[in-house]
Amino acid sequence: MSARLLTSLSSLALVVALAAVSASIAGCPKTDVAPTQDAGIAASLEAGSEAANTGTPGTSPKELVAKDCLSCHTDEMLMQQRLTEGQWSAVVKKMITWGAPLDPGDDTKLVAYLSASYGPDAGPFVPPSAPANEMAMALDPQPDGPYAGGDPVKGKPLFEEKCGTCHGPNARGVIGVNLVDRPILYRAPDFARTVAKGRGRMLPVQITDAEQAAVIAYLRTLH
Amino acid sequence: MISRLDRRAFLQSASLAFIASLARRSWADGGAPSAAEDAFVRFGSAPQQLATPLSFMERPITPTPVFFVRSHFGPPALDAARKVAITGMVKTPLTLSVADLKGLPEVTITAVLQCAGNSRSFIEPRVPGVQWSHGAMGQATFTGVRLKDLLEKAGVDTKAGFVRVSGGDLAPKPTVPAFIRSIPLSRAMDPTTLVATRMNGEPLTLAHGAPLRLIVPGWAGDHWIKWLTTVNVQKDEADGFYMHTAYKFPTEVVAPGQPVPPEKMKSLTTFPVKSIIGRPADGGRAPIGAQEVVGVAFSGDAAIAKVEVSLDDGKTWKPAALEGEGGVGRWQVFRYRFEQKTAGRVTALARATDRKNNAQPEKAVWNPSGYHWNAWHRVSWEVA
Repeated sequence: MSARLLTSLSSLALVVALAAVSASIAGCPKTDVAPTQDAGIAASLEAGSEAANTGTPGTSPKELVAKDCLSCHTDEMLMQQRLTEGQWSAVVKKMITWGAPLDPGDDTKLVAYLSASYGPDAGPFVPPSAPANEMAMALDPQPDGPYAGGDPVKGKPLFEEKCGTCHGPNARGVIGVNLVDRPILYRAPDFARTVAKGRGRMLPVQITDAEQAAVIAYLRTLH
Repeated sequence: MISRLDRRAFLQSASLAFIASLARRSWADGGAPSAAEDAFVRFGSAPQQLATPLSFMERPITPTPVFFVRSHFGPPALDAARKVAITGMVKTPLTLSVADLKGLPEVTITAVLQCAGNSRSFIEPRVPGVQWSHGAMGQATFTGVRLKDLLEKAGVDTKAGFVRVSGGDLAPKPTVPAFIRSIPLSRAMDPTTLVATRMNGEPLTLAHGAPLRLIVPGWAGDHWIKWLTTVNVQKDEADGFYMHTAYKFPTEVVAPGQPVPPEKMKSLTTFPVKSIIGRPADGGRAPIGAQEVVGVAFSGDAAIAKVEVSLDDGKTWKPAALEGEGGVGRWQVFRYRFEQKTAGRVTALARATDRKNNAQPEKAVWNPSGYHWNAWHRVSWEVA
């Protein structure tokens, strides 16, 4: 079976599965959880006019969150907390020692925003419902599609040139996150989308499909 | 090299596996739930922090597809050939894959897996961490080999005191502390401590630690290392954040909200006695007539002795019926039936007592990381 056929088959399967999931939600009167009221920090950034990749002066607190927090975890992790300013300050301090790449002075801005938004009196956090199939599929490998058959030898210098500054020469993470032995390496289309689009502090990277394939092939050799 | 070849073979089959995965997530292990229940309660999407809905807390076994997921860093790539090393103070270090475990006695244990921080959102004043409701727990059957058998095969030094256990999940950055836990050798040698390959009869899924996961029945989830790669036999406990700072509990009652000095903190081990009502749902409705309160009860220290239900805010308690087999770190379903002849709001409380006479407290003990919440569970519903 060709990769292209496989890709279209799996897209079809995905569409069918998603349709089934939405149908099952629509058809069920009983749910334990109401949908979340807050679409989330990341979603509001994407929808709004705030650009995620601007520098520190004039950077909104939500932009700070997006570029300094959300490469390692999603925004629910912040939104569900109900912490005092002192507690938020300790959390942010811990995250800085763990490698959150805050610029000098941004910590106070971040703590002020987090304690104002997610303080003890912020009201209940209503966690959303998440279809079990979708959550499992998020970790499942995807067909490589146009990123199949890359040459790891070519991938090494490409990675070092285009990615190594932020992800580290051995891809174990510096400003960007660790890329060694991760499920995303076997979800090549998702990987390529992030590279093309950028994420948080990461700017979109100009790279061809063949180069993407080579970088992915190289990263798969690292352990 | 073997690992790389296996990966290639795996990748070739990945496309088909992907399609198959859409159909493979069967409910065979826990009965067919309604479509409405085919979902988690999500506290994090990447890495995944997923709670099992409370409506499942009336079954002896939690189906794997909705079994809660707690992640520090998220899983490594799926690698069926990932091996565990038995290393450190041993005569013969071993490196074993799933295939290498064949031939050793196979053991299946039914046990509760509960995140130490389950129910954290009910801790007052609030503390940081995943703000779980009660869904960071489940019960499954786990099949594998005894860690004891592996340690004996390797030959443990008589001066050894602990095993340092860790998995294949790399931290997002080298500046983030690695997740390493220490378990006393005596607990590692306990015949219920397993290196599991299967959960609810099926090979472990990636989310639950494939290919090898440590099973420590009765102990909090932080010891149940997923993607197990290292069992390092040592004299002392490991250093590092996940032993020195996280997963600690005060040695004495402390003032809520106050910091606790490190010398007054000890490492978590077993989880305390707890019961949770799965049905009726809090805030639900029911017609006048027969009512049924159903839930699960367990303790990490002993089998459950009794579960009682109160309908008058704890003034009087009636015994609930216990179902299934009891055991340390194993939950039993409890059931209490009564007639409600008038319309109005009904509130039920549940409290369990284990065979060592540990009883659930009315209020949980406050602690800086919000572990081990186990207060009486309260559920109210409208009878009309």
